[in-house]
Amino acid sequence: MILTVTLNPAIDKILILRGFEMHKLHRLVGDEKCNTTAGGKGVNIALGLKALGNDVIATGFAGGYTGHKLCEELRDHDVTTSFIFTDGLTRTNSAMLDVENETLTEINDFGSEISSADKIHFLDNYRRLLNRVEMVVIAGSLPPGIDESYYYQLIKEANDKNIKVALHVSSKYTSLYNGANPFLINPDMRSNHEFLDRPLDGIEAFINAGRDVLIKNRDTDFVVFTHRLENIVALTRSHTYVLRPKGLKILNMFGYCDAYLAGFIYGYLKGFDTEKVLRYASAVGLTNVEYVGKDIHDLNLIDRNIERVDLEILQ
Amino acid sequence: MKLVREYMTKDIVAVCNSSTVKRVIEVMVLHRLCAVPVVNKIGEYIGCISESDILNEAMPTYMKSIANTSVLANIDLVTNHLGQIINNPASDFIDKEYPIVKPDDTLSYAADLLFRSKRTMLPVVTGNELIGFFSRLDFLSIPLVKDD
Amino acid sequence: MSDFQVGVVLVVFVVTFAAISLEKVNNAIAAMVGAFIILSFRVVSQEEALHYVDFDTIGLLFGMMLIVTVMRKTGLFEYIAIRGIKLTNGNPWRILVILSLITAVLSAFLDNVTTVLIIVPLTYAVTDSLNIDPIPILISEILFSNIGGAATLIGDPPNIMIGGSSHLEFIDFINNNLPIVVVIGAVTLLILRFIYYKKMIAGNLEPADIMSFDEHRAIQDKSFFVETLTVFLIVIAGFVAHPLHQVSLATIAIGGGFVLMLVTRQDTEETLSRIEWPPLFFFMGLFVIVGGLEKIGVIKYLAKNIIVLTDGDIDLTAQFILWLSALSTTVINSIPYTATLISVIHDMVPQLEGNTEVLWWALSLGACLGGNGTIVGAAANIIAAGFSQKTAYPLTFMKYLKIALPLMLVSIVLVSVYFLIRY
Repeated sequence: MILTVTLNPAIDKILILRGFEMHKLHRLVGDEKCNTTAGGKGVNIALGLKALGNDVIATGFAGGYTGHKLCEELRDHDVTTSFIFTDGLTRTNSAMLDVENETLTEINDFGSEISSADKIHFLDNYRRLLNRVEMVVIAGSLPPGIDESYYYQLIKEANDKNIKVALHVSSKYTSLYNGANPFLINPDMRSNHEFLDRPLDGIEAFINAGRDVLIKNRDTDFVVFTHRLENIVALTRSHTYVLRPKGLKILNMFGYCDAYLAGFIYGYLKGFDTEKVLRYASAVGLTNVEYVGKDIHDLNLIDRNIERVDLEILQ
Repeated sequence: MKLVREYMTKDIVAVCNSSTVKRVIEVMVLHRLCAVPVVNKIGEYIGCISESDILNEAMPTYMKSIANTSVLANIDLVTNHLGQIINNPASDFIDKEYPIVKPDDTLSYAADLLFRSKRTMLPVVTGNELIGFFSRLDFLSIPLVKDD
Repeated sequence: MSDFQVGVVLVVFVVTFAAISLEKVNNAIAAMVGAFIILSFRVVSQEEALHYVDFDTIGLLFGMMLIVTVMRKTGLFEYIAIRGIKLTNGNPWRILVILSLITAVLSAFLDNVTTVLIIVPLTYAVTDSLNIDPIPILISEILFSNIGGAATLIGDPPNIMIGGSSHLEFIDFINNNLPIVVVIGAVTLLILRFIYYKKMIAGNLEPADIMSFDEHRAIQDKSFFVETLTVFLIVIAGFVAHPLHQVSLATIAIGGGFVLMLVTRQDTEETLSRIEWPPLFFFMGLFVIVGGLEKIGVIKYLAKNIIVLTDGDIDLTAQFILWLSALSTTVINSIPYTATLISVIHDMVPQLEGNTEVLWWALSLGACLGGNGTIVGAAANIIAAGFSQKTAYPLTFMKYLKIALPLMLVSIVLVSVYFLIRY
């Protein structure tokens, strides 16, 4: 059983339309679409893990009709929910994909403020859930009212019980990369291109930063940079890997990192060796970007796509 | 044979036995539930608290012995009583005999139990572990599921 | 009659009595098992047993239960109580007086337990609304349920038993018991006023709440109410007119009960299942056990010794029975006591010269009022105290005893004086 933590989940509203123009009424017509799905990084990972075949409990904060909608969708996909419900609504994140102009516009809401009482309720529930899971995935942004020390505490509580934590949160939460010691670190750099207070891009920079993180977090086994899909950099204490998918045909970047991480955890818990875990994770990510939806839909295709992942071991 | 595990609501909602009645009601409201399972500090299932358990406590004892509503209908006494018990510990209200089902119980058994016990939902428990609940609506909505 | 059989009866009597008084076994079960043993050892024969069971008493009890069961549904009692409470304007002392008087009047016509079951919850509703201590009112109501019950033939089980076996008329009870009951009630209220008045009217009161009690919600079906009340009044009239028609009270009560069910179209199963059957079986068993006592000569022995003690003087015998009854029923259940004493008095009557009627009044008033002495003295006391345990104001043994025992003794002194003056 895997526990995914999504403190600031969302309902993702995705509009797929043609020729969007500002300052005009745009009515959806023809094959234009509006999809509403459960979202938030941890939620996506939960759905991905379930699709791959893991048993998952999703926790976090939810509220109002959007919160109920979120939980219902998770349960429809056979993910067990254990959210702390708050007075405020679960946020709605909007995205607009204009297939004619090939533009993607995203607007992410703050989320509702979490009260200190609810923070305690969540922690109590989290501690109880820790007694029944083998791994915790902490992913996504923090809602108003909660700072990164809360994540730090969640990681520590799990570590104290010898439960591995996979951390996939914004690279701006610097303190978490300075000794929180999660089992896996996969910084989310979509909105913040700095990592440990320095701008970061290029394989060299990723490797240096990864080594730095491994030194600062003595119990961390993996550091993975998935920011550049064509060059995924992964570090362990003994090796450094660069993975490159061949012949990428990107259709959709939604949830790519989340799919990758789900693939990683699935492979790791399956007992694959490190190289196979990394290849499998990339294959899941690859399969995801070449499909219109954000969900993992075809397990056979993933297996075939493993061959398309080039793995290079650096010294 | 249809089993509870296939049709249950896999939602782990619970209050800790150290919570207050206020928290229990809050959880009922936020989660839209008529009964809330209670677990101990380490998450083991101990029992349930239903709306009627709290309503029962909120009603002054003497009120239940009065044959009709003539006396207190026009006074806020019951509301005041509810206000007085709101901060009591949830542990005072736990129904440890509240019926439960296991995930491998049959749907017929669960439906029968719901009917006999006049409950709106039954916690689904394996060993001491709460894994969700099975509600009247979970049962009643089975024929509504469309085959894809 | 062998010694063994004598032993059996004495053992059965003592064990049953102890079991009932200590509340170890349900009254009805204890009495019926005791009766079964007495019959099994052939101390009394089957025919004798049926003869000992006073079906007038049991029929009267049953009939009244039936009528009261239907009456409770009309909301009449709540209606009366709420009207009474509204008269007080929320003054706690006046509430005590009014509720006590209502309890006394209802007790005179219904059994005390039913009265208490109706009045006590209402009392808690009132005191809770006013935020005052219900205990003084509760104690007063218990006292008045037993005082009021003494006034009529149907008011209290000892009276029903005496009425069933002595051929005293309904009206005789009113003539002889009611005057002293009124005096005792007045004196009791006077003493309670000295004890409680200052304490009760102190503090800020919000009478507005109880003024919004809505008596109109109590009576939901007016024609049902009228029909029931009519039948009830006819039954009471039938009791009063007994010397004229000689139809037994039990017959009137049972007949009235079933006619009431017919007129108001009651659900037979439901109504009959609400009858409290245990007391009826308790009485039946008890009659057989006391029959056993009579058979082995214990009753005769008691009767003879009482007469020897009082030298055959009726006034003295009456005083003796009064005080013996009052003191005994303070601690032991008044029903087996009364059943025993009825046999004793029956045995004594032919041996005494003069008007022996006063002996029945002595037993009646002693057994009814004696129940006031302690919290376990009468069924109504136990019910009321038991109810209070579930509330924020439990009535404890000592709290009750401190007030009630002296008041009970005062009431018996008053009866003593009353006997000396009147008979």
